[in-house]
Amino acid sequence: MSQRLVVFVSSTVADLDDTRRALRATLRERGVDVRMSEDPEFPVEPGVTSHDACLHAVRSAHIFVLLVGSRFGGEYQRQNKSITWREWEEAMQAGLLPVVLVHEEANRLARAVGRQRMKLMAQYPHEQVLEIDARLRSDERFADRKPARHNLPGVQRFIDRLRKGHVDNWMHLDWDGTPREAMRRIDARLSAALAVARERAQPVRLTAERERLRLRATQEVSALAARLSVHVATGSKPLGSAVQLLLDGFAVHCPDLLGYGPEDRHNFVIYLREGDMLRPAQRSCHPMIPVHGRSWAVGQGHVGLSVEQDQLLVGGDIRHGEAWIPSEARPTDVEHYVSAVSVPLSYRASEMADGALIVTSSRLDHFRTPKQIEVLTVGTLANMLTMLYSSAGSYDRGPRRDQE
Amino acid sequence: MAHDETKSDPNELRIVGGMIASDTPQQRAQRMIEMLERGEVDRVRALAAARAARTARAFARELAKLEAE
Repeated sequence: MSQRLVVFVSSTVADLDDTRRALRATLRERGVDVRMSEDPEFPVEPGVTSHDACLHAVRSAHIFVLLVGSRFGGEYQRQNKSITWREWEEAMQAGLLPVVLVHEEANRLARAVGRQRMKLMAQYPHEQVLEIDARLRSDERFADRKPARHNLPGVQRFIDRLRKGHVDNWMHLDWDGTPREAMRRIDARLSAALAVARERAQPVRLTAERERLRLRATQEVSALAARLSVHVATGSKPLGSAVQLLLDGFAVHCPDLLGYGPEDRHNFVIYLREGDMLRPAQRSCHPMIPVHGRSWAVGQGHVGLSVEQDQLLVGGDIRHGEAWIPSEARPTDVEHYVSAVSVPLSYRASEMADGALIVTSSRLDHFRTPKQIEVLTVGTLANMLTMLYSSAGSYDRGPRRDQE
Repeated sequence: MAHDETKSDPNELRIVGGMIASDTPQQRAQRMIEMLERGEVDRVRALAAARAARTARAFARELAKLEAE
């Protein structure tokens, strides 16, 4: 973290570039570090995309200034949200002090779009958000007009989200669009921002509390795994049932264990290898996720690659990786399976892994790096499963009773 | 008598949703297995949330005590 105050300025470029430049010049004159998404000086490490580098730059700032005009801007990885929107989410997650300035004209239009959206939703209750957006864009009042307006329905959804996403008074819906007025409002927040920059103790405290809860949940599922392994070893429970119960235990504790939020959809699946195929054995998932029971060849899909390479694989957005195999038969896959961790399981003396645990989340970048604590925790859960599988063969009592 | 999972007195036996607060981890695990087998996932989840809340409060107390010192 820089010792100087760092401000990240986020906005669409085509319509607000002059304002961005003016803000940067003024803030730099005051000794403030200013970062913008299109800056070429973001440190890009090997293996890190420019997008990830940009989000990293957001996280390392103290203040997040968001300027919202009447342009939606570039869409973020087919997420139905803009890049600016994604930056805002990242800033909120990292606990930055936000200053949101919405151009008064954009706010006025957004309100009109919002009212019309409500009518259309009542009229076409089965249509998806994008279909309603398309209807709104075909309305002359909200149509694109170069260069000032682009995708007003998208802008409306973003502003609506911004309104719902705060409890503080930092959101200004009546900005007149001038750099001077923007600077005046940013100044009003600088003193509070300086206090945040000087005292990061609260996030440290929150992190400590979160890790304490993760430790407690890990203890709970460890005890569950130990108890189940006794049942399996003594033959009082079939292995398959025990694995299912352990996955259910993971799912119950997944908010504390792996940081799933109320809106995130979890999915824990065990695949067991039969020759070159990985067959789904047990699963515990969010009730909204449909179960298809698909098998994967070794080397195919995220889980297949993990087994083939015999290593933990993690992806912040697996839909854009080489392992993603789109399916028309499963159109909701793109909503449910966004980030994932796959861990090979080895409990027999075989050359290749005997199976794998895959944990997925509907949240973008929920799992994104191998060193991330949530990913390391998935590795710990996989170790518990390995222990359970191994316990099935730990007592030599004739034929194994685990075959269901 | 109402039982409160949020109060922490290790010497006090309290029954919360079929679980005894002073259970050992293995006893708790066994009860969790039984509840999961009966399909009482919501009940297990509620107990886990109550225990997490208690842990968070205990942690906050520990921190406050350290800060006071």
